[in-house]
Amino acid sequence: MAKIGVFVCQCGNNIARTVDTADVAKDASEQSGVVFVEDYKFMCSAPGQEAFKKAIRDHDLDGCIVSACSPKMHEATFRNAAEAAGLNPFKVEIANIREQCSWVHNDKEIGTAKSKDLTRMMIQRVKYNRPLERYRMTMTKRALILGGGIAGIQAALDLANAGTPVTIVEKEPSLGGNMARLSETFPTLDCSQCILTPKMVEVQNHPLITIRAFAELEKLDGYIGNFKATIRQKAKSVIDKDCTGCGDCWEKCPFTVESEFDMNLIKRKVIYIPFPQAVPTVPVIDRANCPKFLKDKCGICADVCGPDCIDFTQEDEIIEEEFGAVIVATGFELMPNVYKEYGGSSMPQHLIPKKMNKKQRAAQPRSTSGRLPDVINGLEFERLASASGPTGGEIRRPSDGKKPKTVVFIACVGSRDASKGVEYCSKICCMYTAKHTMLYNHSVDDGKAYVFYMDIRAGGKGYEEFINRAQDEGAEYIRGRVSALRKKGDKILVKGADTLQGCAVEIEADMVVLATAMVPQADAIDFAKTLGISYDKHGFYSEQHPKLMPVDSSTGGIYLAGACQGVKDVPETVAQASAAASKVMQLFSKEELMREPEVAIVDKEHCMNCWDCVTVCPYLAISPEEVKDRNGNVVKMVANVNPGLCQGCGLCNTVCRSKSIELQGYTDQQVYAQITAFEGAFV
Amino acid sequence: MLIEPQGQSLTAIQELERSTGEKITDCYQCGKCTAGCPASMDPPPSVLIRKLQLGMFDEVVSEQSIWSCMACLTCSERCPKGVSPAAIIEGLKLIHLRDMDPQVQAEELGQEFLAQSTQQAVVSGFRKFI
Repeated sequence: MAKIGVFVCQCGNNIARTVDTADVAKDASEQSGVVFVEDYKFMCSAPGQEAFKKAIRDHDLDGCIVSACSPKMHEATFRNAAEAAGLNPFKVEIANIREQCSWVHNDKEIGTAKSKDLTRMMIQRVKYNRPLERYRMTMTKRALILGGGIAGIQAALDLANAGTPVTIVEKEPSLGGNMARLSETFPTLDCSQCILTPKMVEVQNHPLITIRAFAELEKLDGYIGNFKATIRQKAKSVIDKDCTGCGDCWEKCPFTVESEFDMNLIKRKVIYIPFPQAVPTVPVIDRANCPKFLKDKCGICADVCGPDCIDFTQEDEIIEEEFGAVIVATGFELMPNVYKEYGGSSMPQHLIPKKMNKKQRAAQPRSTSGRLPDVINGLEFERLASASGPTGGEIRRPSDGKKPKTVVFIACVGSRDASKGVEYCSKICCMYTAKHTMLYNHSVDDGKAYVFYMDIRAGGKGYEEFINRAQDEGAEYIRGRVSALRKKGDKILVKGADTLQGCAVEIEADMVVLATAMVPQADAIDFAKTLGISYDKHGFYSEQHPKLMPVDSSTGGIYLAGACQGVKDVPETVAQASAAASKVMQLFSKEELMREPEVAIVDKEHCMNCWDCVTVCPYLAISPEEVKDRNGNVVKMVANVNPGLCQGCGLCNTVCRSKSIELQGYTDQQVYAQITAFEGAFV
Repeated sequence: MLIEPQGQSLTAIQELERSTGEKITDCYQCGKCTAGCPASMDPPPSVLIRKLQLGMFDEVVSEQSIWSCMACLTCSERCPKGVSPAAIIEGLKLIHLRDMDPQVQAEELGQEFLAQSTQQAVVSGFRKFI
């Protein structure tokens, strides 16, 4: 005969207001098998838990029901308390009479009847609960960081300084990401590279950090503590270990293409490092544009290389490594398709020369056709303002290199625009536009900066002061959106509105800077599928809980850092990267990994090897296994569940034709008992 | 200026929203409609919508500027919130026409005028001015 205890919680007035807890307790005490009942004000309080433990010990209970709030809130609390009192934690069940009763009903009678029902159902269910043991498994205490921007760098340093070996995988030839492109950072106006490059050098020199630049993650298998990553190291055509980074090859290379790092504003060589402080300082050959690969001509780089480290025959290398945790820090890009709305002016097809001579090609500064050359986005302005950028820090407009005397900055381009762009606020644009006006005013003394804005969102430490400073230094803020940009001579006519006056305004500008929305990387969704993590409708990776678990992804052992999770500025990115690193340290601080036992198990005698479960399993946790007799002959094949991968979703359970696969803790027996006990008096 | 809830206007605004299918509270006053308006309306569309948001229906429906709207739909096309100012202004015109005295009397136009005008102009003019 079962000995079940029922603990009804009043939750102060939260439950007691709409549920007669004393009546629920009385009803429970009349059920068969119930030997102890308690009605208490706060079960989760320390005295409440003590009473819970004492009751288990005194009455030697073998099953407990806590009729209280959602199991999401306090299931773990009571299971731990039960474990401390010597009862198997999986013999404790929660009947949710707060979120599902008192909070959703106004009528006390109905609330009480429903609470009685839910409690009765749990009493019947717990009679069939089996004592379960948590799985223990080993783990690989190495972390994989995807993305070598500021988020990846910060997370890598935090982890490595705590003694964890780290591998950074970066798809570009150098670490640095988008932050390396910035000229200065708000609100202090300190040079971005000056604060970033020391960290990059520290990463390079750290004995526990491996940098895999110019590499991409192809596949991620496994589960928390035991991931198996397949990394494609793209062929650099340069032998890493021999290269000294002397620079002879890229100085002598006669061929140039547009530099992605400089936002296509200038050209780079075909064998290149993205920027002078690149880490690692190993160049790569851009095979798509190198004549050696296209038509087997040139090869000057190989001739001039002192240590003979140019290898044209190098091939992509597939590396398989094991990791215990993954931090995703893949960052952001700027919304690409805003130019159609802002000054799109694609030249009529018949006017575009089919074959351009050298002079014509040089006159086309950027490959992005169909836009006015002097309408640039925020990152392009950063490169123009950067001391290491194409103009050496002088702000000159891309079309003819003149110093622009009037510059219009447009905020909320693509963002807060549900019709054509994204509906969210891109958050950092208010601040970086203010920074841009300052950089411009410092560079062009007699210049005038106008800012078209809708609202100024400067909620951060020192941010509002920074906006005020920008306005003091001469930036003219006009409240209104810009409707269209037109070419007018060598100027751009900006047709905007001043909603404070209630009229349309026009400005003839030399250059227009768009504060374009931050969006996830173009391949963010595909990458999320590779990793098996969830994402929102924009492609930002979803956190486990928006407030309480902001760095955990939906998959155990994969953590998020930086702008891949949502728009962020540098301080927030760094904070989140450190938080993600601390989560990994927390995981690695234990000797073994504990997994909840609520996973599927297979009854190997009855399994008919139809493999329906293998087909439906979204976590690839089920695989065929051979069953052998004592002579080692294969008798039959059965399904086998990897408890490390199984998330306990129950899909296999529902498709199994022979009823030979069951979810521990949610067996058919338990669920039938629960359903049978339902009386529905409240309906 | 005292802003107060205006019961009568609210019903009128609800009727305007119902007949045009637009939601006036969606507008966040960015001014893009005003910026792009080729008719140079004064007061411009964004101000009209702001006044409607504040419940000043009577003031808006008697504004002269709604008659300078050419329904070119530039504002509707560009609105980032998916509101159509052109539709709202069209609705205002219709309500005005239904409720107010006609500004042009068809009989007074005269045969000579009608003979000289293009048919479409006359038909659309009837819709607009009668």
